Amino acid sequence: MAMGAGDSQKRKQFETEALPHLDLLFTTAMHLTRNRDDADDLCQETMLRAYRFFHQYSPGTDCRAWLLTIMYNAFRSSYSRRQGREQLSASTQEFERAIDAESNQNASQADPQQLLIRSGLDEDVEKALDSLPEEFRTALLLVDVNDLSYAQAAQTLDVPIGTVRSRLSRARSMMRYALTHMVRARRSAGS
Amino acid sequence: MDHRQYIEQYLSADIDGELSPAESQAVSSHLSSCADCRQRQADERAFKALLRQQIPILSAPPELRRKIVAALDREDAARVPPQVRRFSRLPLWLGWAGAAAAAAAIFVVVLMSSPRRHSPPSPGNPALEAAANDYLKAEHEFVPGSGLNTQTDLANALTMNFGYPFIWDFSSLGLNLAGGQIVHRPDGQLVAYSLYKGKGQSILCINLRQMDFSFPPGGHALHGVRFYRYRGLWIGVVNYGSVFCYFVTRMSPQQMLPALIHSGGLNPGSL
Repeated sequence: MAMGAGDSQKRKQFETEALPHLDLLFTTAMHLTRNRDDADDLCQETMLRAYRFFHQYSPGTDCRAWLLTIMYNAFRSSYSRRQGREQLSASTQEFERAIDAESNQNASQADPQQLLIRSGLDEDVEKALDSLPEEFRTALLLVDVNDLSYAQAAQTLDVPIGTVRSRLSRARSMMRYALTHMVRARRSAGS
Repeated sequence: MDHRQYIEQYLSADIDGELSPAESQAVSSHLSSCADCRQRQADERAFKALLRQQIPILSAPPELRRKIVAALDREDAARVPPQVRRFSRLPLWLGWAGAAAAAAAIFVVVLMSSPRRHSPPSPGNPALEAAANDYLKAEHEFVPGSGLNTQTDLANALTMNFGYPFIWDFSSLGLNLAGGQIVHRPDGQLVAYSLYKGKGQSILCINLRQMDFSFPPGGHALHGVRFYRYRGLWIGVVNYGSVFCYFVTRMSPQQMLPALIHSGGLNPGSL
């Protein structure tokens, strides 16, 4: 069946407004799923849903935030449940305990630039990000990687802005903790 | 407030420029007298910059682009939404036969529960009034939204907007899905309507996302549904996190509830 003029225009608009965000979506999907095949599936599902419901997108609004909302809903309704929430909450508790312990000793307050120099490996940052529990990883991905405002992130995650604020702060503390420990581990292995 | 709470509440948001003017003023005032927090704020700022530098934006693989373009071509060509893998399980979920025995047992309990214990809601409750008006309008005229007249399409649209396919199986009541609408109310509130119709009866399901929702006063709670008798209608309200479902009908709770249970609709843990 040939496309009508309206369909052709829709396709053109979708390719102009939505497809350019594929790199960001792929980056986000990789960190959400931590698996290349799942990231591919999640991107395809997101783009297909977005195309199917493109008439609901208001031109001139933030297409990137709209796509990320679709992606996060798709992720939440299938992938995250598959990975198991209980395991993630346990991981959150472990992080919280460890950060509290380190905070008391002032050990996780390392200078970030020093931390990076000692780390020496860019991939450490990505590894640290992927080690974060889902809710913290997502907050950090939306704000620090995708440049969403707190209000946009709150809408995407369907949580109050205050929750985004506290999750993001904790996510950054967790990142700092994870990086510190990678540096220490490497130093121990080298000595 | 101790320092950890202070950092969580304010410093991280301050470097993102996300504090209100009053909060920002309070932080400036605090920083002028707290060397620890000044240092921490500088670290936070440097760390945020570090994250931006070190988390690269990946290039989507060419084969992924090709797959997406091919999927869009198929979508254009077929004009029929292709099967979405995630919802291939939907019929199984709808046919949740294992609930039938439980539904039957609960049906007995419902019959034994006296609706007379229902206490009337405040007259003119805005949420119930809106739900009743929506139903009365849909009862006479309901035009499904574009691409929202099949179960799969509606499930996809509901999942995209509300995080889950709120589709119910009321076939035991002789009701079938007539279609759905997803619209913005004048106040900007996104609302989804799904109408189920049969011989002389209907149920309108209304989905709303409301962060600050509270149940209308009065009503009578049965198995997680708060039922209200309102303007000659029955309105059942169920909460799924930040999403609320209103079921508006002329049928009694005793008729509707077993079908809802059979649908898995009263099993939020399964969502």
